[in-house]
Formats: sequence, structure tokens, C-alpha cells
Amino acid sequence: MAEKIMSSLVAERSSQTPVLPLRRRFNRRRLLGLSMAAVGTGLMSPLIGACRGAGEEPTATTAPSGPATTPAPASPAAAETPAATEAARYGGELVIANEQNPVSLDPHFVRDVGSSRAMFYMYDPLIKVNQDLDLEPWLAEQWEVTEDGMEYTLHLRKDVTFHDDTPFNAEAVKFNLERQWDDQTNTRYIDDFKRYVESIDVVDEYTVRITLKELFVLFPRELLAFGSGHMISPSAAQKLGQDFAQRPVGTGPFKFQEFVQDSHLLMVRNDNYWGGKPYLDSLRVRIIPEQNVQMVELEAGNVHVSFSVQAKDVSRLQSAGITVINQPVPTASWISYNLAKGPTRELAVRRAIALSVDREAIVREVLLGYGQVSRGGSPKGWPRYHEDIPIDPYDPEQAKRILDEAGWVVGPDGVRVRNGERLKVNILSTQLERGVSYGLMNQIIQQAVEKIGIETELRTLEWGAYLDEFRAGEWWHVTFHAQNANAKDLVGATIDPDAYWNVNQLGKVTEGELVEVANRVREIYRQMNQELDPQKRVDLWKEIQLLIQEYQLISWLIHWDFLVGVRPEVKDLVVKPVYSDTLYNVHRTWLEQG
Amino acid sequence: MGEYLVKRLLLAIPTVIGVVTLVFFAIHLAPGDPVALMIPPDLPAGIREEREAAIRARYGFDKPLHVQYLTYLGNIARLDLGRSLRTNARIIDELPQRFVNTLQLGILAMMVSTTLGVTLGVISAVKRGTWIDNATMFGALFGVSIPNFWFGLLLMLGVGLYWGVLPPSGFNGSILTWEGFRHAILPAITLGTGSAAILARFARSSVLDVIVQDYVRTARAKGLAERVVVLRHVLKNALIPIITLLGLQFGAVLSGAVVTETVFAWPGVGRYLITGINGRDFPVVQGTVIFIAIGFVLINLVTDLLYAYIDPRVRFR
Repeated sequence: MAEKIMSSLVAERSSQTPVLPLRRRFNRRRLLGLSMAAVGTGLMSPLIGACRGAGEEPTATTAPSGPATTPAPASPAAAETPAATEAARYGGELVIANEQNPVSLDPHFVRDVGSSRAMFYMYDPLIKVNQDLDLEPWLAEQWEVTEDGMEYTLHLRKDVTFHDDTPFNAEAVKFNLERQWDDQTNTRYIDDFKRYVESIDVVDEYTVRITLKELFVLFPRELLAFGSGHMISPSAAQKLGQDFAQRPVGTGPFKFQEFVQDSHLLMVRNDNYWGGKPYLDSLRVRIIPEQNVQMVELEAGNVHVSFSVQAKDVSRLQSAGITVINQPVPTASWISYNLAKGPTRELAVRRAIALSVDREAIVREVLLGYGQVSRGGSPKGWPRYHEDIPIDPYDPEQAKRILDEAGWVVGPDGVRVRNGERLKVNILSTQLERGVSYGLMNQIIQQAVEKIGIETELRTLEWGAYLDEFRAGEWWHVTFHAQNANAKDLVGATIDPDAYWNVNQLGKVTEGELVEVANRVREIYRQMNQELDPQKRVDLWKEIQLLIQEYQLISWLIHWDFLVGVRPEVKDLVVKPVYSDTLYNVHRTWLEQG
Repeated sequence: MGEYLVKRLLLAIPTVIGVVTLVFFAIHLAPGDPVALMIPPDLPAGIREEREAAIRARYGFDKPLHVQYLTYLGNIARLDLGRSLRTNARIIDELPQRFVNTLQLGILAMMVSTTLGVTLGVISAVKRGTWIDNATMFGALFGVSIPNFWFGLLLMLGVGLYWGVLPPSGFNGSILTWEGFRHAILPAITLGTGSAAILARFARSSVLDVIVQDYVRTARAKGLAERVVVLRHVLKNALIPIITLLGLQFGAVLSGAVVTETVFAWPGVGRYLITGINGRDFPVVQGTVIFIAIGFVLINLVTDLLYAYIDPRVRFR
């Protein structure tokens, strides 16, 4: 189309060239006259507004909500809800800011945080993860699992229809789940379904039986509660094929209205929602990639909810009347060591590095108090937090002693040497920001280790290139990592030596005591994947946590808080302490008018 | 003129092929494997390799690079830019609307920069050596040096938040509607200021060249008012070289849109490109860069034609 515009422009011009010289002169004058008129329209003065300073100091978190073990972390907005009449709650448009486009509007193609926050409102999952991160009946009102964990029977709600009036029943569930196997459709869950699921059978109109091929204890959480568990209309999917994502149809509280990539996704109320008519007229997800811009829009009142609040913004937002909900989420950040290459193969070096970093200072200075020092990779209050796992203290003197004892003595230029070999670690970095900036954290680590006599080289790469270099595992010895938890590894770090994303190259170790450690970790992972009892899984994970600590397979650093900004007029918004699929029960959320 | 046009159009073809080739190889040889980003992180060995191979085969990444290149050229000839690896949407469906969005912003920005730049340049030349001249040229220097990103945020805070007169960011349809236009003002000013500064400096020197010409002295000698001398005799002749620069600046404005569009959440070509780069989305990056390159070639062509059209001397030479 653009080519069309351009070529027609050229054609227009060229069609005018063969006219008489007199006419041409006239046009030329007119054109010059026009450009002068444009000049004469006067000056425009770009007025620059004063920029408010960001003299933030750590203030108390607005709503320290409970972790998974305590009751629902409802927002303060919910707590302050006045006794408004039911009718007054209806109406209005809630605007949510999102940093990225949803990769697709078809939930079966969604497996990332950003997309799930943007588009799950049009759908319902079979099983829901609630605000305590427990599984809750949703489209499946109840479910049973056989003792061996290999067979799930789901009993479905009978009062649900899709937005296109297709009835929701066992056939619809079968269609949705079998869609995940289909090579042609190639959903984001194809690998898991092919690996774990044997068959999906309709027992009766509202009962479905799922048989597994291989035991997968997280099956309902991973595959029935997230993307693949969200139900799409079978008739719409069959009719639209690949174009389903352009005109999505689900059962959710909001119906698809319009999606403009990089601008917004607009959804309108589903009056017939089985969970009750939603209060909001519509829900708009605005795609705003810049964190600072989200803050401006939040303050200006054009956005009601932002998931991208940083510690530096808190006091400014609060002074503008905006509620900042502080959700301690199972995030974790740590130093990854290359266990297969370079000086970090040696325990003494890893231990010294672990002792050289001042974690308290990072929480104080970088996170402005919105975070905590990590103990065993789990934030306080979470099931995998154990007081008896030690925290690495900040003790550079001890770090130096450890290196001295290992034979690394300080040379004339301050760098440690052993048998003529200089102690040098290569630090790999990227510009990514995940709760904290990778670049900044790698610099902090660099300065810390240089102070104890280790030479460093820092290389900063763009994210894609970083991943290549990281996975190759040839050059780097140390890198900072941060991750929010997923269901499989609740502390984020993938220690499993056989995993594609193994964070410390443990799988590549071929010599020394780490070979034995790798085998033990493998064995524990195997047991965890077979263990149905959640408490026993916690215990098994603790064994890994202790191994990590003992051998410094990685060095835990900090946990940052997940800060969500909510405008005061938003009522009854429930924010789950997780990054993906963060809002709960949006159909019960309402806006105070006026 | 017709012959000139045909010649220029033919010359554009190798330029576009060159760009396609360069972009294709630059992207494929740069580090960062898109397939790695598509595989679930915990897939066990065995299944993983099988899956990787399947994805490579699906997108043709398993073929030798030169085969991929030739296939790509063939597809482009059929106007098929492929599908996004990330969203699976057809790129050729996506680009035109985005191009229109960018163009709207670009045109508005050019209006800002031309008005501002030429006015300031003329004033500064006419008042040469006075404090007005100095202040204007200092302002122009400031304008050239100021990063788009920062200036945009400043405008957003000032005009959008504290005064609240314009929406700080976002896109609201065509700029021909009032709401759409309101949303475009701040990004257009942000985008236009940089090139306004360049235009101002250029306009100043262009006017200074003209102002010493004999015919200007003649105009003054025959008793015309200074305003008439400047507007009718000086400016009209000084504008001719400025037109060329306008074409080049339009190209610069479109590339500057990459940053401005990201800051202002404007769904244009620039945003599309950035998203593509971040996701290692080869087809999107290739398609967008080629699209932009063709746009540049055409803009330059139009500028040349316009120049020949406005200044008869170019054609007579």
C-alpha cells in the first residue's frame, strides 16, 4: 500500500512534466508561494515543563501483602472499598499498561508473562491459580487424580457458553487439549503435550478424562491453568483456522473488540459471563514499552494499573495519590558460575566471590529497600524458605583469606597469581532489566571481586547475543542472573544439569567432585518430578538448596519486590503475587465514577 | 524529464537489491539464534534436538545460507515478506498500516521542523550579528544536540502531565481527526525539533548567500519595504536549496521515528523494527528494513524531481 502511495505520487509528478513551460512556471511559483505561507504561519515554541526531582527515600511499602502461606493479598483498594451500591459499580473503562504486545491473542500460543497479563481476560482456564497461588476450580468445578498421578478426571461447569454461543462441554475441552498435539497448529505447548499426555477422553457431556504418558506432578498447574488450559471456542477455531488470533473467541468476562499492534487491545463486557455480569464496560490494555512513560500516564490518569513500577517511582506516585501494591513474589537473583571452565571451577574462588558482594548494600542502594537479601533462593515466608540455610555474609577479609589459603597470592599489581597464572574472571553482561538491571549488577560484582584481588574483564552483549555466548559456556566465568519463578523451578534458577537453561554449566562438568554433585542433583530432580506430595518436594528441593550453598553452585544475591501501581478510583482489584496472569477476578473490579 | 525519471527509477533497482542482500546477510551472520528462543528451556536432551530440527525445517533455517537467500529474493519478488516468527502474522499485512502511521507522524514533524527551522533561520540571517541571531543559533545547536528520547520525556512531563493540555503518549487513529491529531502533537514536536535545528542553520546560511546578491540591492534601491525584499526576493530564492535538504531531512525524520515511536507508544514502522530486533524475528527485521529502504529511495527520487521542477537551471544544465 505504501508503495502504491509512493508510486502514485511519482506518477502524478511525472504526468505533469510534459505540460507547457508557462504552466510549469506558474506551478513552480505557486509551490514556492505555498512553502512561504507555511513559513509565515509563525513560530512554535516548544515549552518545556519543569521536571520534578526524584529525591526518593525508602518509604514503607504501601501494602505488604502476605506470601503464599498467608491469606489473600488483596489490594488496599479492595480493603478501602466503601459500601457503594451495586448499581453504582457498573460502568467505566479500566486501562492497564503493558510493556509489550501479546505475542498472540490465541492463549495456546501464549507462554510469556507479558502476553498473559494482556489477553487472558477474554478466556477462562479449566483450573485457576488464585491469589494464594493455590489451584482453584474454575471451568472445571472439581477434579480427581488417581493415586499414581497418571489420570485426571475433570467435572465441568454446565452454565458456560463461549462468546459466539457455542456451548462449553467435554467435547470443547477435548478439542482444546487435542489442539496442543497438532503439528499443523504447532501451539506453544506442543512439546509438553506430546511428552506427557497419552489421551483425552469424553466420559459424558460434562466430564473429561486425561491420561498421562509419563508422571508430571505439575500437570494441572502448568498445562491446565496457564495458556493451554484456557478454552477457545471450537467452532470459531475451526472456522477461522490460522486467523483465529485475529478474531479470538473465549468464555471470559470480556469479549474481543479491537487490537492495534503496539497501541492497544480493547475488550468489552461479556454480559452473559457465567461468573456474573462484569462491572466494567470495557477493558483496555495499552502497550507502552517505556517504563517512565507508563509512570507519566499513570499519574496523568490515562492508565489505571501499571505492573512496571520501580523503587525510584514509589514516593512520587504515592504523593500523587496512587497506591503502590508491594507484592513479595518468588523472584530471585544470583551469580551464575561457569563450573566447567576457568577459575570458577575451583570452590575457593566461588566462595571468595560469594563473600565479596555486599548484598545489604544492593537492597539499600539499588532497590531502595524494596527487596531482601536472599536466603537459599527463596524470599521470607515462602514454603522453600528455611532459616537453617545460611546467608553468605559480606566479608571481603574472609574472602581474601580463602584465596590466600588456596595459593592465590597477591602479585605486585594487586592481582592474585598462582604458579604464574593470574586469577582472572570474565564477566558476561547484558542490558536486560528484570527487576534489577543486569548491567548494573554485573558492575557491582565486578567491583567487588576486583577488591579481593581478582582481575576481571566485562563484556556486555545484546540479549540474543548474550544468550548465545552464555549457552556456549566458553568465554564467561561469572554472570548475573535474575528470574521470576515458574511452576517447575520455584526459585527461578534452573540447576538441573540436563536442562537447556542450566544456569551454571553443571551438565558439562567432567572432572573433580562436581561430577558427583551433578549426579546427586540429577537424582534429586528425578525424584522431585515423580513426587506427588508437595511437602516432600519441598524437602527434596531443600537438599538441592543445601548443595548449592555447600558447593556455591551459584551464589544467591537478593529478591526484589514486585511493585504494582493502581489509581485510587480502581476498586476491588486483586493482584496475585506472580508476574504472569497477575490480575485475579477482573470481572469483580470496578471504577469509582466522578 | 521522462527519460530522467526512468533512468532514476532503474538506478533504484540495484540499490534496493543491495539493501536486501546486506540486510539478509547482516542479520543471519549476527549472533543470536531465533530457534533457541522458541524452545522451552527445560526440554530434555533427545526431544530437544528433534524439536530444534523441526523448527529449523519449518522456517527453512536448515538450508544453506545462499539457498535461503535466493528463496528470500524470490519471495520478495512476489511481495511475500514472510510471517513473523513471534506472532505468525503476515508481515506484508502489518507493514502498510504502520507505514501510514509513521508517515502521518513524519509529515506533522516535517511541518513543525520546516515552520520552526526556516522561520528561525530567516530571522537569524536578517538580524545577523545581533543577540537574536546568537540566541537563535544557540537554540539550534541545543536542538541538534538534544536526544529525542529525553526531549520527548520532558515534553510528556511538562505538557502532558503538569499542564495536562495534551495526552502524554499513545495513538488514537488518524491525525485527520481531532483526537488523533491531539495525540500526534507531542511526538511530532519531539521528532521535528532535531531537524528544525538543522534546517535553521541551513536556512540562515542560504539566506545570507542570497541577501548580498545584486538583485536584492536593486530591490532595496528601488525603494521596496524591507519586509517585501525579504519575503519576495530573498526568501523565494533562498528556499531552493532548502527543498533538497527537506527531502533528506524527511528521511532522517523517518529514521528518528524509531526512537520517538518507542517513547510515545506510537504503532509505526520504527516500533515494529525494534520489536523485531529484540525478538530475533528475522523476517520482521528484514521486511521492515527493506520497506524503509524503498521508502528512502523513493523520497530521494521525489526530492530530485521536485528540485528539477522548482529550479529550471537544473534541467537546463
